[in-house]
This record gives sequence, structure tokens and C-alpha cells, in this order.
Amino acid sequence: MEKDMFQLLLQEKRKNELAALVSINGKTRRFGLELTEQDAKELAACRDKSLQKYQRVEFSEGILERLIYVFCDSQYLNQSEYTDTLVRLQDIFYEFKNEAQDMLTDDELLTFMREQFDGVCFGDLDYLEGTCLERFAEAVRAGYRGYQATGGQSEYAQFDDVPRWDRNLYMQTLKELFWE
Amino acid sequence: MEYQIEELLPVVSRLTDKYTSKESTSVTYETARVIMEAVIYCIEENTGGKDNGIRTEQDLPAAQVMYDRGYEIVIGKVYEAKAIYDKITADFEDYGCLNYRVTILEGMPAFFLRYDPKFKPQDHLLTLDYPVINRTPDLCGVNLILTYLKGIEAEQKFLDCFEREAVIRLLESIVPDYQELYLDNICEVVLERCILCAVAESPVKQLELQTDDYEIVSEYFRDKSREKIEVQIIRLISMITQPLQIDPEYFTRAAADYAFRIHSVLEGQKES
Repeated sequence: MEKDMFQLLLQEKRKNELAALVSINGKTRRFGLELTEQDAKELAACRDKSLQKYQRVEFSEGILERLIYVFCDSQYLNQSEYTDTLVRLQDIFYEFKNEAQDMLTDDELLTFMREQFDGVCFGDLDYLEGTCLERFAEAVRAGYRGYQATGGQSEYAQFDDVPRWDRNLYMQTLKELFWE
Repeated sequence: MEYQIEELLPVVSRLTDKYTSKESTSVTYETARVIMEAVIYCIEENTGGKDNGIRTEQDLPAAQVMYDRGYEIVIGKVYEAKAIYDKITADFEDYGCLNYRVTILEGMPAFFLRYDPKFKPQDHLLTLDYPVINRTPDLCGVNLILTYLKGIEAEQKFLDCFEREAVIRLLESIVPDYQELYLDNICEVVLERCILCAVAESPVKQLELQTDDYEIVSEYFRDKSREKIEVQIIRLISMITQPLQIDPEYFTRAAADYAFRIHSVLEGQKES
């Protein structure tokens, strides 16, 4: 019965979602991003694979539309890699829902992902998945709950152990390189 | 009562939304499975888990209606179990038996504190280490706890008919350090001794048998089939419990085990 339930859920979702995904173009077109029907089908198929891979199930509307809304205005998203990036973000999303043991709400995880994607990751999905989210999920598993107050915002700095450029030092170095 | 999975999915979906407080669009397979079991458990409460075959498919109420009704039944049973538990513990006698005391006085409150009738009604949480006469391995959730507490209540009522010291002497004769080592049901051995006393025409309330009495008991059951012995034991249980104004039906469930033990002992004596 369990296997039937999950198969049936996937079938139900496929019925209406292609139209819904393509209709999002109305919101994302101004950022230069559009999905064709083929792209929507590919996203839906990859979503199904990700759900099966991470042994998760979506009963009603899934995360895909929300994922697109959250990331569509990122400077690191472009039309040529739009579908591939969304596929990857979706996969990472489900992976870290599991890694955080469902302690994070969808909004908290998406907020964290978007902030780091644009921030320390500079659009690098490998860094987002392999470093930022790994560290954050590890902290959540260890009992960290600070994200509940912040909604996932400005959370990474306390887990980041990479020495980064200080602004004054950066300006000084630029000056030395180009003006002195 | 059988619902197709397509009829159950909307109910499971609504319950999952409540589980996640609508803050998560997906759950793990394990969570979905547990919630599906919760829905089925509540729906089955409407018929006691059995399909009585009365309704036709056209008559079948919507799964959501049956789930809601079943959930209310589960809640009612939790209150019923709590009332029985409060009655048991008002004047609880454990006869010094650690397993009995820990299971009822320390373990059972955890059920009432942590039982989740909405998302895990099927999970009764406890291991119920102290066994009752009426073991029901097919039950789970509040049904198991309610049946268990009703059993404890019936057994306490029976045991209250005897002197505390008589019961303790009997337990000590079985296991000298019974306080920590006795893990079986107290009522079972007391009832068994009552039956043997009744057969030997020894005072039942004393729970004591002399050496000669065992010969009388052997003679009474000798050369009888196990089934015949069981019938006789059921009659004896009725004779013992009725003057105490106790319903014999619960205790006659032990008759098959007693008959098996007595028959085995007598067969063993024959061979030796």
C-alpha cells in the first residue's frame, strides 16, 4: 500500500503542475527567465527523482514554485542555466530537509539557501551544498535553534570559519595595487 | 470497512498539513507512513477494526467523516482509560512486586503524558512489562492500554478478596526473592491455587495446599483429556468468582493454560 500511495501522489501532482509551472513565467520574465513546456516537464521529472532519492513525499503543492519565486531575482541566475540550476537547487533543498532532520521549515531553509547563494557562494552550488548547508545542517542536528528567531537569515556567519576580506584591508590592497 | 487509497490520501494530506503546521511541503516516507497508519487506526475505530459488511459502497460515509468520528472515539477511550487508571491507583496493592509496581505506578503515567491521539494513535508507547491474564498482542494504541487497564482492574478486584499475607506467602513459595525476581502475573498463580484448593476442598482464602491435597488434585484430573480438564477448570473458576460477585468471563481465559499445565504434569507423572 505504501508504494501505491507514493506512486499515486506523483501521478496526481503531474496532472496540473505543468500548466502551473509555465504560468510562473509571467512573474520571472522581467528577470529574463522563462521556462518552456519541455523545461517544466524536465523539472517535474527531476523533482520526482529527487523525492524518490531522498525518500520524501509531497502531498499538495510542492516546493518548486516557491523555489522559483525565491531565487528568480538572483544575479547568479541566467536563462542559459535556468533549468539546470533549478534542478540542482531543488535536489539540494530535499537533501537538506533530510540532513536537518525536518527541523527547518521550508521558508527557513529557502531563506538560508538564497542568502548564501548570493552571498558567500557567489552562485556556486557546490559551495552552497558542500560547505554552507553542510555546516548549518550539522549545527541544527547538534541542537542549534537560533534560526527559529531569525527565519534562517544571517545565520551562516557564526558557522563560517573561512577568513574573508575585511573591507578596509580590501580597499588598502586595491590602492597599493593600482595607485602606489 | 475498506477505503481505496485514493479516498484516504486527502485525509492523510490534511493531517500532514496539520503535522507540519503547513510549514513544510514535503515529509519523509516514514512520516507519511505513520500518518497513514494514524488515519487507518481512527477509521477502524468506527467498526472496532472489523468489517461488519452491513454498509454498501454507496452508503459508505466519506473517509474524512469516518476519520473524524474515529478520532473522537479515540479521545473518548483515552478519558475512559484515565478514569480506570485513577480508580486502580486510588488503592493500589502491589504485594511488594517491583515489576507490578513499576509498570502500573511509574510506567503508565507516561502514556497519559505522551500519548499522541492525533498523529500516532496507534503507538501505545509502553512495553507493559507486567503481563495480564488477557494478553492481546493484536491490539495497539489506546485500545491496548484500555484493555490492559480493564484487566488490571478485574485482577485487583479478585486479589482484594484475599489476605495480603496469603498472596505474599504464595509468591514467596514460588520465588523466594519474588519482590525483584517475579515477572509473571500475580492473579494467575493466585487463581490457579484457588482452583486446586477448591478441588482439594481446602479453604480457598488461605491459598495453601498440604501434601495430601496434591494427591486429591491428581486423582480429580487423572485420565482426562486436556479439553475435558479445561471445561472443568472453567466451571471451577465460575464457582470461585461468582460468590465474590466477580464476572468469571475474564478469568476463564486462563483456563486453557491451566489445563495444558495440569495435563502435562499428569502425563509426565504417568511416564515416570
